[in-house]
Amino acid sequence: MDKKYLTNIGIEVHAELKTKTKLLCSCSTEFGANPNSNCCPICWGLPGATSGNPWAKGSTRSGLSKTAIKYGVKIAAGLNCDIAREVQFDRKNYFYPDLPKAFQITQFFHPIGRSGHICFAFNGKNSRVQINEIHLEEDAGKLIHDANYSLVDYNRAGVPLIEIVSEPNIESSEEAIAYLEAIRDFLIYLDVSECKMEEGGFRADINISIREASSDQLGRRTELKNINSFRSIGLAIENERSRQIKILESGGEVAEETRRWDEARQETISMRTKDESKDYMYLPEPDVPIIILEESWIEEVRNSLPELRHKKIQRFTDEYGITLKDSKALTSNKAIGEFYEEALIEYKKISRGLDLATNTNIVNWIIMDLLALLNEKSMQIENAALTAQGFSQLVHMVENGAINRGIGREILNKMIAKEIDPREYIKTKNLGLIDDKSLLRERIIEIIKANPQAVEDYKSGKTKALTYLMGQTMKAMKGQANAKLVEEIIVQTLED
Amino acid sequence: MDDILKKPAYKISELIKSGEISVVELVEIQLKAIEISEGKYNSYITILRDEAINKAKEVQSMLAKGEFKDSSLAGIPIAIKDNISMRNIKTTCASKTLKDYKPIFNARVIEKFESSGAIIIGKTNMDEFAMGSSSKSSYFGMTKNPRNTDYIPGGSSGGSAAAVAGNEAFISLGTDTGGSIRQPASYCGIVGLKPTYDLVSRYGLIPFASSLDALGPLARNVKDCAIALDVMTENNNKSYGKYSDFSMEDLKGIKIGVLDELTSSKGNLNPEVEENFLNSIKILEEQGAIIERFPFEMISYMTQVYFDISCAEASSNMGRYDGIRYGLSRDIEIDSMFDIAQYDGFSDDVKERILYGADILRKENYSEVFEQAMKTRTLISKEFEKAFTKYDIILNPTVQNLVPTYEEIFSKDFAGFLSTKYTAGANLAGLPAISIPSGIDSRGMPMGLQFMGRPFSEKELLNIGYIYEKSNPFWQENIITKKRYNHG
Repeated sequence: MDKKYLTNIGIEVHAELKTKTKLLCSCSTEFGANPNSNCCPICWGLPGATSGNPWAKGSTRSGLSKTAIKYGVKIAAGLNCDIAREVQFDRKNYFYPDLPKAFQITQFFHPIGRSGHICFAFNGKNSRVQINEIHLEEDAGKLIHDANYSLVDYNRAGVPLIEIVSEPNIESSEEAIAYLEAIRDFLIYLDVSECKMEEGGFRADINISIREASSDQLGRRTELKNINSFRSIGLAIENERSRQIKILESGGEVAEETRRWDEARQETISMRTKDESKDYMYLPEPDVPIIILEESWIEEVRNSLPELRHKKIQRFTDEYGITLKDSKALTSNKAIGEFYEEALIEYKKISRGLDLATNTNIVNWIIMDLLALLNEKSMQIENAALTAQGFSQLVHMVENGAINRGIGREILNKMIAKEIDPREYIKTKNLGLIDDKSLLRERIIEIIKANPQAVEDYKSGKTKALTYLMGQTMKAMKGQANAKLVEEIIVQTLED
Repeated sequence: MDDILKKPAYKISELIKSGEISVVELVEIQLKAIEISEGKYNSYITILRDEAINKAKEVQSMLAKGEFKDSSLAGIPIAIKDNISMRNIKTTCASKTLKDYKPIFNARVIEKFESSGAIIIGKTNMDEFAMGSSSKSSYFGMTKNPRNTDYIPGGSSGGSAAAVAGNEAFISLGTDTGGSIRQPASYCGIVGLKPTYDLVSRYGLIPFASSLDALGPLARNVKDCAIALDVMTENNNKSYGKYSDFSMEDLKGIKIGVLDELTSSKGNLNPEVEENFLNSIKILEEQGAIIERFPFEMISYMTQVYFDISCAEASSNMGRYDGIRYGLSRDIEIDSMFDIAQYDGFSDDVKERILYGADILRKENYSEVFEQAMKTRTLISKEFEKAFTKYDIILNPTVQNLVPTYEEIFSKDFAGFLSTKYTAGANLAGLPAISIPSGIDSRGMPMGLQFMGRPFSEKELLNIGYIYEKSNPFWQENIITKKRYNHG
């Protein structure tokens, strides 16, 4: 990193909200439908197709999505913003073929949230990025370009978006990526967006400028658009930073412009500067009524916020003494983190104590077994038949030596697909660990008789022979023998 | 048989229900009359001959089965202003850019009229995209005032007013952004109602200025307007019954306010208009109303604020005509498509408003012009609110001047915007207002009286209008006479 120059990065994130219907009409927001099939006069922008008359009863196609507003307030609350008490929309006017009304309905004068912040871990420290504002708006359609013509698909037009605008206090490409991951985690945790970048559900525009370390004033910025992955964002920032430094070093001035990232050439390229100082002629949207939010409703939404991931990670490491790496794995999915804590509660009901070792085992069960098995089946914990109660019973049985870990994992697999009481299951399938000493001694004597060489080897000090005899015994017992006991009895028998 | 076309819709409705006249017969007679008079008036852009006959047959057989018992509009020929969307029917807004546009959906009000059994007989002429007050900017030629075709019918609902005044429809639907129902109603000698903002759904109305536009009925008498409003607000939550049930018998206890600047001595009113106005005041007082003059501080800002807001909203509403999904287009590059649809497709009247509106929305002008207009609008609304704590009705002549001839409006020194001063307030404040014929001037041309009420007071407003109508000796059922009155 060039010490002489400091970087200022501001990021504008657009995320599609996972409402079932569009912002201003009841068309579906589902991705992947046939072009122009999730459309109606309102989102096609046909003349006269306004969103809706607040006084008319029984109008089914129109109206402002309540869910979108709720999500907007939720996001504002989670990002520690000042929340607007009145939801107002405005028109942003410009011409483009994917914008059916020639204006976008957005919030310019009164965004739903202002002056917030988000904290996240970065480079082993806590980083904090200020949020300038967040607002609701509708998405535009999609253009597909061919050599001689372009096609327009209006399915996406009208889908509700949240736009999150940060202050330009992000200082590096690494921090930018950490910020984007934090925002994405946050939105997924809140269950307000799926943030699927590959489906256009999560987009980021980067504003970047550089300044000399001695200067307080921000340099001229360029805007980087159309970057389709976090990795490419990192590369684009680095590339643009170098480009700007080169310009300044050669005595030139950075032009304020919009640039796009060219994946193939791995560099930023200037877009047409024709509409650079665009005047969007904003005016208040007259067709959407102003919604007044009640304090009690805002409180309700605030109280319904889940514990956010970075707080959960902190709490897991503090409260349960687990490692940061494990905390991250347990919280990668909100439902898994919740499952873990439920399992702890259930476990404490069965066993009086829960020491660190057992806790670690439970964590490992989840991370190494449960998550892996769910992944194999392409399932989410929410749709699994497994309960926290059943899970903790199973783990307890393994801890106590009632069953083998290998058998335990098999049973866990079955419990994901079907609702099974593990204790019943073990009883009926006779999977319990066998610790009947006389039965074991019988078997072991057979095995010893059948493996005279091994006995010889053991007697001459080769401990590997013991392992071999144990293995043979376990095989004969179909893996259900208590391994410790088997070892004890073999040693005892051999000594005799 | 032509006399039947001059009767009120509510009387015809009774004849239809009793079987004295068949719907098909009535529609045929109406269509024949239109054929004859259209050459003179040019009220219609599209006449829906086949559709109307088919619908007439349908409605007739449904009536025979006992349907439409509660509908006062079943079988009644009505006309629709051409900025109101009808599925698969050309809806042109009198513009070149939409001359072949057929919407794929019906406006909400159209669905309500169709459910009532009304027969939509045609789409009427207007100022292009409702921007104007004379009907001269239409791509389809000018409409003439049926009372005397030298004169303008007014606008922008000129075709709707002329159709009703010329007995080419019983009731018509118009739109009012700054006076566009009431002014042509006044000029043509008929009744025109602008309801409270958004009382009637705007879904399907191709907008001019979205915060000002309202759909409303025009008819030859108040009761027909009320019946139309009942249909247009079907399904609204109404605890007070129908608008067409008039329960008030006189105006005792009704307080009416009149702007104190409404005199010809201050140059605000034509002297004939003033004389007619004072006469109307006397009639209302005889019915028991108490009439008082009061000052309205914000009156001088009305036309400028109306112009600023309407042009700004229009500039935004007009952006979507790009020739991609609908409208005038040719197979060329996208940038040029906007040019064709807009530069070629719009008249100068429309372009002027778009340019002005866009200009005042620009960053450097926004807070000084548009924002100021919005703030002034709030002050205007508040002043009306205050006035309505003292008065039940605010009264004025619908238009300050006499209806001009086409020759006059094309002359150099014609001040086109005088006509919105006393009508635009209702749009700026979202209030209901009705224009009722009040008399005839020395040239034999009609004048109108405007009653404005509190928000959602249409029931009272229509009833008061009805009482005035009955007690004004100048009002006649048939206004197409060449009789001139000599005011003595």
